[in-house]
Amino acid sequence: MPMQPLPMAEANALSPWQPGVFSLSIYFAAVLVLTIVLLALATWLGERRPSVEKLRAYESGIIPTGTARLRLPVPFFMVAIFFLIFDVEGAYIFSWAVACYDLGWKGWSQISFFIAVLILGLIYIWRKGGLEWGPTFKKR
Amino acid sequence: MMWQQFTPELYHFAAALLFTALSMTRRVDNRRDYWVALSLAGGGLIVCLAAVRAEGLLFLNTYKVDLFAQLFKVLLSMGLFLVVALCSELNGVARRWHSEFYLLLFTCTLAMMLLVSSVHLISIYVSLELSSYSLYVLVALRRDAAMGTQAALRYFLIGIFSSAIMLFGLALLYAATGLTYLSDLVQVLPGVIDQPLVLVAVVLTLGGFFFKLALFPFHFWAPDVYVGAPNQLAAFIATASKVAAVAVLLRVVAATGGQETLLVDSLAALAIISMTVGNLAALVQKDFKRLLAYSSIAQAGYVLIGILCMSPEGADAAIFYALALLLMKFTCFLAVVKIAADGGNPSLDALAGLHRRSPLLALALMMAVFALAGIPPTIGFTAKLLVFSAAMHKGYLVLVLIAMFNVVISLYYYLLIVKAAYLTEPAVETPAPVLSLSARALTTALIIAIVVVGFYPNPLIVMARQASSSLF
Amino acid sequence: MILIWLIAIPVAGGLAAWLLDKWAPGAPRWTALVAMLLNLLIGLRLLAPAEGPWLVAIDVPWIDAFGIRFHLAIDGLSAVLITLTNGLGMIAVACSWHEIDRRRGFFFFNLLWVLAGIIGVFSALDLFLFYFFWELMMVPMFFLIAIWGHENRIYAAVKFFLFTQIGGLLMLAAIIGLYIVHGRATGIYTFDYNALLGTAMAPPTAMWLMLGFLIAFAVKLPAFPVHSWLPDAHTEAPTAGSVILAGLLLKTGAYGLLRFVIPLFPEAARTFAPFGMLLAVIAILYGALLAFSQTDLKRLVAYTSISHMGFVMLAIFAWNELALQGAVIQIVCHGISTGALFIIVGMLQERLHTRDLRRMGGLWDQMPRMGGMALLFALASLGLPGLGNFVGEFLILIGVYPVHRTLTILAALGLVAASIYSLWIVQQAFHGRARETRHRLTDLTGREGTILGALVLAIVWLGLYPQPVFTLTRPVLDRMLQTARSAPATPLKITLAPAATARAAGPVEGDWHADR
Repeated sequence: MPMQPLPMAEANALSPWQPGVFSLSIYFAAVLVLTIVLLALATWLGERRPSVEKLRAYESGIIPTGTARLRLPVPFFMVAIFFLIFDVEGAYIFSWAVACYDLGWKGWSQISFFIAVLILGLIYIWRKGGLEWGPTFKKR
Repeated sequence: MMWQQFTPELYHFAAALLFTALSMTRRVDNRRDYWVALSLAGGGLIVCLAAVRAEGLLFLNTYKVDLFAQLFKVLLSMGLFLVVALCSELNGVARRWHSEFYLLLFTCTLAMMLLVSSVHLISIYVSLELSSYSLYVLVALRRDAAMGTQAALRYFLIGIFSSAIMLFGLALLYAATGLTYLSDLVQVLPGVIDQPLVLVAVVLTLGGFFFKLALFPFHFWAPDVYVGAPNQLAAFIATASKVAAVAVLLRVVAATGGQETLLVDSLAALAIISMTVGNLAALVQKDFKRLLAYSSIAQAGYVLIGILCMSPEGADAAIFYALALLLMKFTCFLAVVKIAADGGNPSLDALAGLHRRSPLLALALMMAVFALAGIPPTIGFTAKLLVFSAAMHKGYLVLVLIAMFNVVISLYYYLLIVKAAYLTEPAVETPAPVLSLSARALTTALIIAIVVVGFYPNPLIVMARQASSSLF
Repeated sequence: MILIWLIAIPVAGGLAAWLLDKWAPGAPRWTALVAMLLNLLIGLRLLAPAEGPWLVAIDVPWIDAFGIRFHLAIDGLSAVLITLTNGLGMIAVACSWHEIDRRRGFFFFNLLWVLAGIIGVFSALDLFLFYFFWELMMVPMFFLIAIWGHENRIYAAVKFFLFTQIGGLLMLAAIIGLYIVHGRATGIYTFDYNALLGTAMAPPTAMWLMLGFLIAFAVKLPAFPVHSWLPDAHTEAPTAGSVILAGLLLKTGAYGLLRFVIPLFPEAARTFAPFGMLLAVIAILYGALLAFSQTDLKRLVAYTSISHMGFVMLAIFAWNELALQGAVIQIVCHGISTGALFIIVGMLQERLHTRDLRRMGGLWDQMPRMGGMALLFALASLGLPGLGNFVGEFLILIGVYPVHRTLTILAALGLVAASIYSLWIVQQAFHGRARETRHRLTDLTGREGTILGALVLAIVWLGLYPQPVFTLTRPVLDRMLQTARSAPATPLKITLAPAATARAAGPVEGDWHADR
């Protein structure tokens, strides 16, 4: 069936001359110009006398020690990422649970399929040794 | 009955599942994955061919199975089959990742099949992302980890950038019309396309597809990814991925009705810039894959000419061009894969003396290159003829002349390839590329296809006409 | 069927030559020679007066979806040109008998495919098919120059390819444009020549479409501003390549002008004619001038081609019967005489390993027979009565005279220049004293003598008794003149010289240059 455009926005919401694109672009240009002018003025007028203290990374007053590139164990990241993935998928399952009875068996089978895929992913990670913590001596 | 229409997708999903399982088993034979993948891909091609006449609307009308979609599915499965056929020596990918490589190839093909059938903004977006994510990971599987990761990261960043732009466009489209079904948009969009909001929405939406097609201004990934990806995967990106992008662009652009000249003008501008940038950059390349990447960008410009006509002739031309690109680009990459037996990146100089080392491969490369340059009697010429005459039908004479000028520019670097393969002799004698019997058969078949389809394209043009009739 | 054979024999012969190369090193040249001999014999059957407009024709559907048909047909004009192609093709095979010593199979493959493409161009009556053959002859020619050429071959080959491709693509645009204009007007989308004749269109459209065709043919001809590929290509190509380039490829440009540009767009061509004639005269004088200042013998002969083909273009734009007859004879005779000169240069280079005129001189003492041949073809080139070129140039000048007096006089100056550079060749290379000490040189061998002897026979015959060619081509040219005349006449807008401005009160019915 032919549908009419819903009045989500006025028909000429972004017309060139009405308050819309035109004023927006003026505003955009103004922002751009202002930023550039400020930065340029600052570099042009500002005085530069670098010293050790000034060049030091700002850490809220604490004098930094050591290198910024700390060595963290890789499994930490792996587990963090896995947690993130599976945690987010939980959102879908919750939303299904809210409407569990309305969706019926069809919904149940769909979410089961979804969970099965998740489990498959978990098995894959397990098999590939993604969950192992600490050094392993197994030869791959 | 619904499952019958969905067979090709289910088949490829099952294949992907199988490879998930295979990836978890202990490896006994390195060739096992190749043979399994080859037979599965061959089966996939047969399944797609069998389902070519299926029709129907699935999943709450978000998924349309028609001749247009099914034809593109055949092309996609053909691309997958050809690419898998190249993988007999998958030296660019570490041994332990072979199963995952095929798994992701099948997933990506599945996603692109979903893409060509999607007629709903959300399903288009989801399948587009699925195919992109598969490719991001695939690129990173390169054995030379530094190269692969760098390319994958670049691909990923530009990909999510364009994806965000596209999502913004989709949101604006919804804001302007309140519609998400393409079938509804077809009826509403032509009436409101002259509104700036809608126009901006459409252009931003197309951005996502331009990324897939490696069209200006979303083309920056192409050279790095082609070079960084394993050779076989580069072949896949250059062929199947482009085919899917052409299909979805045709569907979406056709939905705008073709009345708005500003849209046509902006698409024409993008096509011109794409061709020119691609061709000019290709002139100075030394790396063979990088050259092919820039040539892809230029070719994407030619395809866009067919798409922006928004006429049945233009759609025919674009469909035919997609097929032509598949064959031509694949043949070029066949040469890349066979020349770089160690899985590295061949330079143009590596082609020296190819006519002596492997006459068949040199001939195939020459035919493919002349096809890309649009010289008869090759499939590339017919494709260009269709595109140009479709554009002339709509009166875009200047566009055609610019495109032709670009063809002349491109001739120069295509001639450089021919020169490298046929006219120069290698400084150091390099071993001849090894072509097994099946590889010879494949190469011969490609040569014959390029020439025969170029010489007698009638059945395919008729087929493309039938397929495009559902668009307009 | 005979048309299919004419194209299929070189195509198949080329493939066979390529494949046989592996088995026997001598096989490719014999295959090629036999194929061309067969083609020549088959082609001779075409030299008969036609009953209808076409001697033989074949017309089958090809790409229906696009209204493309596989339509080949031959009339007297095509038959003459195809015979020339077959004859020169055979001679090209013969003169590369020993010259080509590597990748022979591929060489003869390319040679025969160029010839097949040229025969296709001379017989195609579907514009798409014509373009198809037009491109088909380009790629093998590229390889001929690029693989077996001289020092600077790749540059010359790429330049040749790009020039002709630019022209070709413009022609493609014009073909598609004509296809669409005709389809819009009549509802029938077709590429067929006969159907497209007399397509009604607005003058600006016709002008643009004609320019598309014209540029392609002018590049090939080559006309004055787009000739710069020619000296390079001719100089760097191997002997057989030069013979085919000068003898045949240039003729496809002239043929295209005759067959397509003027019959399809009579109005626009008439408007353009003064420019065309002016460009032709510039080509005649400019080519002659440049020829005279060359020291590379092959380059010299190449520039004379520009000059001589200028006459053909002049005649075509004059568009009356005498001039067109002259153009046809000139096309054939120039093919023979320039081909022969290139062959002689090739033979000299084989012996002396140089093409530099400054290092020759006094060759007559050692090679009197070759000197005699060179003198004869140089005389042919300057238009000595009794040799074919004289007939052509004389008829052209007579034909052009009533159309434009000033240009005729200027073109006649080209003949004077021709006698200067032709005699210059003989004087520098063969007369005088030797400028370097050199080894004993062998005179013409039996094979070389036969090649040149055949060409001598042809050119003398055409000079003494050109009537058969006239008989064959007159009906064709008459019909073309009719077609172009029957279009509604509009007055000429552009006139060139004061002589032409003394115009009659109105356009004279029936005269193509109606406003003189």
